[in-house]
Amino acid sequence: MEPGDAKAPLTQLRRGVIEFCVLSLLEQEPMYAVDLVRRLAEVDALTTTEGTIYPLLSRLRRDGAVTTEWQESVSGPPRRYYSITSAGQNAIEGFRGEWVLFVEGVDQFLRSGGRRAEH
Amino acid sequence: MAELTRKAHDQLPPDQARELVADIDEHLATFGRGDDADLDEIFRRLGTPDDLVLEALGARESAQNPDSRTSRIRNARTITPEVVALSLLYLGAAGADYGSVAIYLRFGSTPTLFIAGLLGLLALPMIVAGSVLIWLSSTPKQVEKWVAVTSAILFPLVLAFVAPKLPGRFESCYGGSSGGPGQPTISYNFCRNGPNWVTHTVEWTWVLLPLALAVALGALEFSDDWPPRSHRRGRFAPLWGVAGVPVRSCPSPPRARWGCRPAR
Repeated sequence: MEPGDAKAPLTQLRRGVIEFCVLSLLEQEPMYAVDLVRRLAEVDALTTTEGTIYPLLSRLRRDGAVTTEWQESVSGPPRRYYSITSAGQNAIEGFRGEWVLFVEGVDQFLRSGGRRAEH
Repeated sequence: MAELTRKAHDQLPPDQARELVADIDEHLATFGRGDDADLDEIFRRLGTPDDLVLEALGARESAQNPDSRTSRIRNARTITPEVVALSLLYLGAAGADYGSVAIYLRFGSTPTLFIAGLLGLLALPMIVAGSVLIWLSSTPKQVEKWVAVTSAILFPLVLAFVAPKLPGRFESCYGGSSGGPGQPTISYNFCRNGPNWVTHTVEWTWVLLPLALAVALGALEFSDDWPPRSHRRGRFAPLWGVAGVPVRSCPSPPRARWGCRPAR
């Protein structure tokens, strides 16, 4: 890894958390795939594409974390909406606890490293 | 979509491949109704079939960081080893068939028999070399395809060696001469049960038709429009059976292009 090049680790990090971000969005309301992509794009670090979201949703469906249903759309053909299941709820709740600890731990290292550099 | 379908079924478990193809199909049906520019954007955001399959495998690197991206899926076999392997198999099978037919029909000329025998001798090493090349050059999922092709080619060889001995195939002649000192010499030669056009037609058809079928099916096997083996059954099953390829039962894909009926 080149000094100053943080893109690759962030890419890996995004891959690790994006499914929980998706589950978190679905906690609020059922959404279809393109809508999920739009909502994720509101945060630069989580911008993704349909090419990523469909395999991800398929995996979540197989894992039982989400279910789908067709709903009529006023602007075109019916769309497949994704909803979170109880298993998905449990997964996101567990991840929230772990994520807080993870962020605190990483911040601790990053802060202490910065202070050492200043000296 | 054909390329995505092929690559998905090559690299992913059948149900996962089906889901991926169905999701993309639905997406295109829902959002792909705009003009060409919109479609270009849609396809750009979806990525290539390789991207989609890699993502499904959970191994895709960021498309915005090409330096760190590694290809975890070997690209569709480089054409050269596949073409060479296929050529060796087909030529070997053709040579063995020709040699067998020539021997059965007892071609009269010695050079012909020699050529036929030579082709027959070369056939087996060519088939072995083609098979080894297949194993060396294919992904595990593609080996399944090659096994089907190889068995389809070898089946005519077995047929050739057990081809029925039709009555009257071989010309039977006997002759002699009669006469004595001071008497005219009369030579005679009687032949019976010679091969006729019916005999030739049946024997050539018996051997060449399955070989032609195997060649055609082998070529189609690797066509983008041909579904993978796990999705073939139904009306094509008898043909595959003739070619010696075992036919599996078929799961129910969302869109069965080849008459694949849902499993019960």
